[in-house]
Amino acid sequence: MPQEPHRDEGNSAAPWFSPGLVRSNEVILRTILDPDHLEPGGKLAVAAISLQDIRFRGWSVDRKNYTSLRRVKLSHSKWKENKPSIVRCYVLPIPVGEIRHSNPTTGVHDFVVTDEALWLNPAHAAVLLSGPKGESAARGFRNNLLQKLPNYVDVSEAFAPSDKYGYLKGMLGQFVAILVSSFRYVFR
Amino acid sequence: MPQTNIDFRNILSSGYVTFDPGPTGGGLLIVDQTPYAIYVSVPTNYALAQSPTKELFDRLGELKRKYSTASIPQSTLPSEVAFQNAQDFVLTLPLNRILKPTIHVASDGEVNFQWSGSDFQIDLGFYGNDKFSFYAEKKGCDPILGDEVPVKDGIPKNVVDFATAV
Repeated sequence: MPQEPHRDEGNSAAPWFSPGLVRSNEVILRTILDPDHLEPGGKLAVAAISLQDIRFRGWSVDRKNYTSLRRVKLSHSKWKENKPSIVRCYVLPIPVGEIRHSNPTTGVHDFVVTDEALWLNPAHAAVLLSGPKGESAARGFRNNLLQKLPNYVDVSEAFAPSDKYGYLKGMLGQFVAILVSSFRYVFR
Repeated sequence: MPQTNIDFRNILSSGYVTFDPGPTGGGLLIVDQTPYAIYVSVPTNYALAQSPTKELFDRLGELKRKYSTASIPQSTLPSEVAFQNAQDFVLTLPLNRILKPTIHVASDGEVNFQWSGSDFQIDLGFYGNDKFSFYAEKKGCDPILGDEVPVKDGIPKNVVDFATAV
Protein backbone atom coordinates (compact mmCIF):
# COMPACT_ATOMS: atom_id res chain seq x y z
CA MET A 1 0.00 0.00 0.00
CA PRO A 2 1.51 3.34 -1.01
CA GLN A 3 2.26 5.96 1.63
CA GLU A 4 -0.72 8.01 2.86
CA PRO A 5 -0.77 11.19 0.76
CA HIS A 6 -1.15 14.77 1.92
CA ARG A 7 -4.88 15.52 1.91
CA ASP A 8 -4.92 18.62 4.12
CA GLU A 9 -6.24 21.63 2.23
CA GLY A 10 -5.49 23.85 5.24
CA ASN A 11 -1.75 23.22 5.07
CA SER A 12 0.64 23.17 2.15
CA ALA A 13 2.46 19.96 1.34
CA ALA A 14 5.50 22.11 0.55
CA PRO A 15 5.37 25.31 2.65
CA TRP A 16 8.94 26.22 1.62
CA PHE A 17 7.90 26.65 -2.01
CA SER A 18 4.25 27.61 -1.70
CA PRO A 19 2.84 30.92 -2.91
CA GLY A 20 -0.27 30.20 -0.77
CA LEU A 21 -3.02 27.68 -0.15
CA VAL A 22 -5.42 26.80 -2.97
CA ARG A 23 -8.54 28.94 -2.74
CA SER A 24 -11.97 27.80 -3.92
CA ASN A 25 -12.33 30.74 -6.32
CA GLU A 26 -9.21 29.71 -8.27
CA VAL A 27 -9.06 27.84 -11.55
CA ILE A 28 -6.75 24.86 -11.99
CA LEU A 29 -5.55 23.50 -15.31
CA ARG A 30 -5.10 19.83 -16.09
CA THR A 31 -3.16 18.95 -19.21
CA ILE A 32 -4.41 15.95 -21.17
CA LEU A 33 -1.38 14.35 -22.75
CA ASP A 34 -2.76 11.11 -24.06
CA PRO A 35 -4.78 11.71 -27.27
CA ASP A 36 -6.51 8.38 -26.70
CA HIS A 37 -8.30 9.90 -23.69
CA LEU A 38 -9.99 12.64 -25.70
CA GLU A 39 -13.57 11.84 -26.57
CA PRO A 40 -15.49 13.64 -29.30
CA GLY A 41 -17.45 16.62 -28.04
CA GLY A 42 -14.86 17.80 -25.53
CA LYS A 43 -15.34 15.11 -22.91
CA LEU A 44 -12.77 12.66 -21.55
CA ALA A 45 -12.56 8.91 -21.25
CA VAL A 46 -12.71 7.59 -17.70
CA ALA A 47 -9.09 6.42 -18.05
CA ALA A 48 -7.94 10.05 -18.27
CA ILE A 49 -8.03 10.09 -14.47
CA SER A 50 -5.96 7.28 -13.04
CA LEU A 51 -7.16 5.65 -9.84
CA GLN A 52 -3.62 5.68 -8.46
CA ASP A 53 -3.58 9.45 -8.86
CA ILE A 54 -6.83 10.22 -7.07
CA ARG A 55 -6.22 7.58 -4.38
CA PHE A 56 -2.52 8.00 -3.64
CA ARG A 57 -0.30 10.12 -5.87
CA GLY A 58 -2.47 13.16 -6.50
CA TRP A 59 -3.87 14.14 -9.90
CA SER A 60 -1.43 16.85 -10.96
CA VAL A 61 -2.80 20.24 -11.92
CA ASP A 62 -1.46 23.78 -12.31
CA ARG A 63 -2.99 26.75 -10.56
CA LYS A 64 -3.78 29.22 -13.30
CA ASN A 65 -3.02 32.16 -10.99
CA TYR A 66 0.63 31.08 -10.76
CA THR A 67 1.40 29.90 -14.26
CA SER A 68 1.21 31.42 -17.73
CA LEU A 69 0.46 30.43 -21.29
CA ARG A 70 4.14 30.52 -22.16
CA ARG A 71 5.07 28.32 -19.19
CA VAL A 72 2.37 25.71 -19.96
CA LYS A 73 3.29 25.69 -23.66
CA LEU A 74 6.93 25.13 -22.72
CA SER A 75 5.98 22.04 -20.69
CA HIS A 76 3.85 20.79 -23.57
CA SER A 77 6.74 21.23 -26.02
CA LYS A 78 9.01 19.12 -23.83
CA TRP A 79 6.43 16.33 -23.71
CA LYS A 80 5.93 16.50 -27.46
CA GLU A 81 9.68 16.15 -27.99
CA ASN A 82 9.65 12.93 -26.00
CA LYS A 83 6.54 11.59 -27.66
CA PRO A 84 6.07 12.60 -31.31
CA SER A 85 2.60 11.03 -31.41
CA ILE A 86 1.39 13.86 -29.15
CA VAL A 87 0.28 16.42 -31.70
CA ARG A 88 -1.66 18.82 -29.52
CA CYS A 89 -2.01 19.21 -25.78
CA TYR A 90 -5.33 20.22 -24.38
CA VAL A 91 -6.20 21.51 -20.95
CA LEU A 92 -9.22 21.40 -18.70
CA PRO A 93 -9.81 24.71 -16.94
CA ILE A 94 -11.50 23.53 -13.74
CA PRO A 95 -12.96 25.85 -11.09
CA VAL A 96 -11.67 24.59 -7.72
CA GLY A 97 -15.06 25.30 -6.16
CA GLU A 98 -16.62 22.68 -8.46
CA ILE A 99 -14.30 19.98 -7.16
CA ARG A 100 -14.73 21.04 -3.54
CA HIS A 101 -18.49 21.15 -3.84
CA SER A 102 -20.07 18.91 -1.19
CA ASN A 103 -21.65 15.67 -2.25
CA PRO A 104 -25.43 16.29 -2.07
CA THR A 105 -26.02 12.80 -0.66
CA THR A 106 -23.34 12.69 2.04
CA GLY A 107 -22.79 16.40 2.67
CA VAL A 108 -19.02 15.97 2.63
CA HIS A 109 -16.33 16.81 0.08
CA ASP A 110 -15.45 13.83 -2.08
CA PHE A 111 -12.24 15.47 -3.31
CA VAL A 112 -9.66 17.89 -1.97
CA VAL A 113 -7.39 20.24 -3.90
CA THR A 114 -4.09 20.63 -2.09
CA ASP A 115 -1.14 22.92 -2.59
CA GLU A 116 1.84 20.82 -3.76
CA ALA A 117 4.17 23.56 -4.95
CA LEU A 118 7.48 22.41 -6.39
CA TRP A 119 10.80 24.16 -6.76
CA LEU A 120 10.44 26.39 -9.86
CA ASN A 121 6.84 25.23 -10.25
CA PRO A 122 4.86 27.21 -7.67
CA ALA A 123 1.60 26.46 -9.49
CA HIS A 124 1.66 22.74 -8.84
CA ALA A 125 -1.35 21.37 -6.96
CA ALA A 126 -3.06 18.00 -6.62
CA VAL A 127 -6.59 16.65 -6.69
CA LEU A 128 -7.17 13.70 -4.35
CA LEU A 129 -10.01 11.79 -2.79
CA SER A 130 -10.74 13.33 0.60
CA GLY A 131 -10.06 10.03 2.39
CA PRO A 132 -8.82 6.49 1.76
CA LYS A 133 -11.16 4.58 -0.55
CA GLY A 134 -11.22 1.12 -2.06
CA GLU A 135 -10.70 0.60 -5.78
CA SER A 136 -14.35 0.16 -6.73
CA ALA A 137 -15.52 3.08 -4.59
CA ALA A 138 -12.80 5.26 -6.13
CA ARG A 139 -14.21 4.36 -9.55
CA GLY A 140 -17.56 5.78 -8.49
CA PHE A 141 -15.99 9.02 -7.28
CA ARG A 142 -13.95 9.22 -10.47
CA ASN A 143 -17.15 9.05 -12.51
CA ASN A 144 -18.71 11.82 -10.43
CA LEU A 145 -15.61 13.96 -10.90
CA LEU A 146 -15.63 13.41 -14.65
CA GLN A 147 -19.20 14.62 -14.85
CA LYS A 148 -18.19 17.89 -13.15
CA LEU A 149 -15.29 18.58 -15.48
CA PRO A 150 -15.59 21.15 -18.23
CA ASN A 151 -14.78 20.37 -21.85
CA TYR A 152 -11.12 20.28 -22.81
CA VAL A 153 -9.86 23.29 -24.75
CA ASP A 154 -6.72 24.31 -26.54
CA VAL A 155 -4.32 25.78 -24.00
CA SER A 156 -4.39 29.22 -25.62
CA GLU A 157 -8.14 29.42 -24.94
CA ALA A 158 -7.57 28.95 -21.22
CA PHE A 159 -5.61 32.17 -20.76
CA ALA A 160 -6.61 35.81 -21.14
CA PRO A 161 -3.99 38.46 -22.03
CA SER A 162 -4.16 39.66 -18.42
CA ASP A 163 -2.89 36.25 -17.20
CA LYS A 164 0.54 36.90 -18.70
CA TYR A 165 2.36 37.42 -15.42
CA GLY A 166 0.99 34.43 -13.50
CA TYR A 167 4.24 32.52 -13.42
CA LEU A 168 6.18 35.58 -12.34
CA LYS A 169 3.67 36.12 -9.54
CA GLY A 170 4.07 32.48 -8.52
CA MET A 171 7.86 32.69 -8.47
CA LEU A 172 7.75 35.86 -6.37
CA GLY A 173 5.43 34.02 -3.99
CA GLN A 174 7.85 31.13 -3.90
CA PHE A 175 10.77 33.45 -3.19
CA VAL A 176 8.86 35.03 -0.28
CA ALA A 177 7.93 31.57 1.04
CA ILE A 178 11.57 30.49 0.99
CA LEU A 179 12.63 33.65 2.83
CA VAL A 180 9.88 33.34 5.45
CA SER A 181 10.57 29.64 5.97
CA SER A 182 14.29 30.32 6.33
CA PHE A 183 13.69 32.99 8.96
CA ARG A 184 11.32 30.72 10.84
CA TYR A 185 13.91 27.94 10.73
CA VAL A 186 16.72 30.19 11.99
CA PHE A 187 14.74 31.95 14.70
CA ARG A 188 12.59 29.15 16.02
CA MET B 1 -13.67 -35.59 -29.41
CA PRO B 2 -14.60 -33.83 -32.68
CA GLN B 3 -17.82 -31.82 -32.47
CA THR B 4 -20.03 -30.36 -35.13
CA ASN B 5 -20.90 -26.76 -35.95
CA ILE B 6 -24.29 -27.30 -34.34
CA ASP B 7 -22.57 -28.12 -31.04
CA PHE B 8 -20.66 -24.85 -31.22
CA ARG B 9 -23.79 -22.88 -31.84
CA ASN B 10 -25.47 -24.51 -28.86
CA ILE B 11 -22.52 -23.92 -26.54
CA LEU B 12 -21.59 -20.40 -27.59
CA SER B 13 -24.48 -17.97 -27.68
CA SER B 14 -22.07 -15.26 -28.78
CA GLY B 15 -18.77 -16.61 -29.95
CA TYR B 16 -15.51 -15.13 -31.08
CA VAL B 17 -16.14 -16.64 -34.48
CA THR B 18 -19.21 -18.09 -36.08
CA PHE B 19 -19.03 -21.40 -37.87
CA ASP B 20 -21.19 -21.81 -40.92
CA PRO B 21 -22.10 -25.38 -41.74
CA GLY B 22 -19.69 -26.54 -44.40
CA PRO B 23 -21.00 -27.98 -47.67
CA THR B 24 -19.52 -31.30 -46.74
CA GLY B 25 -20.83 -31.07 -43.17
CA GLY B 26 -17.34 -31.19 -41.72
CA GLY B 27 -16.66 -29.85 -38.24
CA LEU B 28 -13.68 -28.29 -36.45
CA LEU B 29 -11.66 -29.92 -33.71
CA ILE B 30 -11.83 -28.64 -30.16
CA VAL B 31 -8.22 -28.44 -28.99
CA ASP B 32 -8.90 -27.08 -25.52
CA GLN B 33 -11.80 -26.03 -23.38
CA THR B 34 -12.17 -23.92 -20.22
CA PRO B 35 -15.32 -22.82 -18.41
CA TYR B 36 -15.34 -19.64 -20.47
CA ALA B 37 -13.54 -20.37 -23.72
CA ILE B 38 -13.42 -23.08 -26.34
CA TYR B 39 -10.28 -23.27 -28.45
CA VAL B 40 -10.68 -24.81 -31.88
CA SER B 41 -8.38 -25.70 -34.69
CA VAL B 42 -9.25 -23.40 -37.59
CA PRO B 43 -7.95 -23.91 -41.15
CA THR B 44 -5.47 -21.19 -42.10
CA ASN B 45 -7.65 -20.07 -45.00
CA TYR B 46 -10.80 -19.85 -42.85
CA ALA B 47 -12.41 -16.39 -43.09
CA LEU B 48 -13.20 -15.16 -39.57
CA ALA B 49 -16.43 -13.25 -39.44
CA GLN B 50 -16.36 -9.79 -37.89
CA SER B 51 -17.85 -9.93 -34.43
CA PRO B 52 -17.98 -7.67 -31.37
CA THR B 53 -15.53 -10.00 -29.66
CA LYS B 54 -13.06 -9.72 -32.50
CA GLU B 55 -13.43 -5.94 -32.51
CA LEU B 56 -12.64 -5.83 -28.81
CA PHE B 57 -9.66 -8.15 -29.32
CA ASP B 58 -8.44 -5.87 -32.11
CA ARG B 59 -8.76 -2.83 -29.85
CA LEU B 60 -6.80 -4.60 -27.10
CA GLY B 61 -4.12 -5.50 -29.63
CA GLU B 62 -3.93 -1.90 -30.78
CA LEU B 63 -3.57 -0.64 -27.21
CA LYS B 64 -0.97 -3.27 -26.41
CA ARG B 65 1.18 -2.04 -29.28
CA LYS B 66 0.57 1.59 -28.45
CA TYR B 67 1.48 1.23 -24.78
CA SER B 68 4.52 -0.99 -25.25
CA THR B 69 6.87 1.92 -24.49
CA ALA B 70 6.63 4.63 -21.85
CA SER B 71 5.71 8.03 -23.20
CA ILE B 72 3.76 9.99 -20.63
CA PRO B 73 5.74 11.32 -17.64
CA GLN B 74 5.25 9.36 -14.40
CA SER B 75 3.14 6.76 -16.14
CA THR B 76 3.11 3.01 -15.61
CA LEU B 77 2.70 0.76 -18.61
CA PRO B 78 0.02 -1.92 -18.44
CA SER B 79 1.43 -5.38 -17.83
CA GLU B 80 1.17 -8.26 -20.26
CA VAL B 81 -1.07 -9.99 -17.69
CA ALA B 82 -3.42 -6.99 -17.56
CA PHE B 83 -4.00 -7.33 -21.31
CA GLN B 84 -4.37 -11.10 -21.00
CA ASN B 85 -6.90 -10.66 -18.19
CA ALA B 86 -8.81 -8.14 -20.32
CA GLN B 87 -8.83 -10.57 -23.23
CA ASP B 88 -10.04 -13.45 -21.04
CA PHE B 89 -12.72 -11.14 -19.65
CA VAL B 90 -13.94 -10.27 -23.14
CA LEU B 91 -14.57 -13.96 -23.70
CA THR B 92 -16.90 -13.98 -20.70
CA LEU B 93 -18.96 -11.03 -21.93
CA PRO B 94 -22.44 -11.86 -23.23
CA LEU B 95 -22.02 -9.56 -26.22
CA ASN B 96 -25.35 -10.57 -27.64
CA ARG B 97 -26.96 -8.78 -24.68
CA ILE B 98 -24.55 -6.16 -23.40
CA LEU B 99 -23.38 -3.09 -25.31
CA LYS B 100 -19.80 -3.06 -26.48
CA PRO B 101 -17.50 -1.23 -24.03
CA THR B 102 -14.89 1.35 -24.96
CA ILE B 103 -11.41 0.34 -23.85
CA HIS B 104 -8.62 2.67 -22.79
CA VAL B 105 -5.38 2.51 -20.84
CA ALA B 106 -4.84 4.79 -17.83
CA SER B 107 -1.50 6.23 -16.81
CA ASP B 108 -1.30 3.90 -13.79
CA GLY B 109 -1.32 0.80 -16.02
CA GLU B 110 -5.03 0.04 -15.80
CA VAL B 111 -6.74 -1.51 -18.81
CA ASN B 112 -10.13 0.13 -18.45
CA PHE B 113 -13.53 -0.90 -19.82
CA GLN B 114 -16.17 1.80 -19.89
CA TRP B 115 -19.84 1.55 -20.70
CA SER B 116 -21.71 4.83 -20.92
CA GLY B 117 -25.35 5.48 -21.61
CA SER B 118 -27.86 8.20 -21.02
CA ASP B 119 -28.85 6.70 -17.67
CA PHE B 120 -26.02 4.33 -16.73
CA GLN B 121 -22.25 4.14 -16.27
CA ILE B 122 -20.02 1.13 -15.77
CA ASP B 123 -16.33 1.51 -14.99
CA LEU B 124 -14.32 -1.70 -14.80
CA GLY B 125 -10.60 -2.32 -14.97
CA PHE B 126 -7.63 -4.65 -14.79
CA TYR B 127 -4.19 -4.19 -13.28
CA GLY B 128 -2.86 -7.64 -14.11
CA ASN B 129 -3.51 -9.58 -10.89
CA ASP B 130 -6.08 -11.93 -12.46
CA LYS B 131 -8.81 -9.88 -10.80
CA PHE B 132 -10.89 -6.84 -11.63
CA SER B 133 -12.91 -4.22 -9.82
CA PHE B 134 -15.93 -2.32 -11.05
CA TYR B 135 -18.44 0.37 -10.26
CA ALA B 136 -21.83 0.42 -11.97
CA GLU B 137 -24.66 2.90 -11.58
CA LYS B 138 -27.99 3.34 -13.23
CA LYS B 139 -30.64 5.96 -12.67
CA GLY B 140 -33.19 4.73 -10.15
CA CYS B 141 -31.00 1.81 -9.00
CA ASP B 142 -28.49 1.41 -6.20
CA PRO B 143 -24.88 1.38 -7.43
CA ILE B 144 -23.18 -2.00 -7.68
CA LEU B 145 -19.53 -2.27 -6.63
CA GLY B 146 -17.06 -5.13 -6.79
CA ASP B 147 -13.44 -5.49 -5.75
CA GLU B 148 -11.00 -8.30 -6.48
CA VAL B 149 -13.41 -10.26 -8.65
CA PRO B 150 -11.65 -13.18 -10.35
CA VAL B 151 -11.46 -12.61 -14.12
CA LYS B 152 -12.92 -16.03 -14.82
CA ASP B 153 -16.11 -15.08 -12.96
CA GLY B 154 -16.88 -12.44 -15.56
CA ILE B 155 -19.23 -9.53 -15.20
CA PRO B 156 -22.09 -10.05 -12.72
CA LYS B 157 -25.49 -10.54 -14.29
CA ASN B 158 -27.09 -7.59 -12.49
CA VAL B 159 -24.37 -5.33 -13.96
CA VAL B 160 -25.06 -6.71 -17.44
CA ASP B 161 -28.68 -5.69 -16.96
CA PHE B 162 -27.56 -2.06 -16.54
CA ALA B 163 -26.03 -1.97 -20.01
CA THR B 164 -28.21 -4.41 -21.81
CA ALA B 165 -28.53 -3.85 -25.52
CA VAL B 166 -31.85 -5.63 -25.99
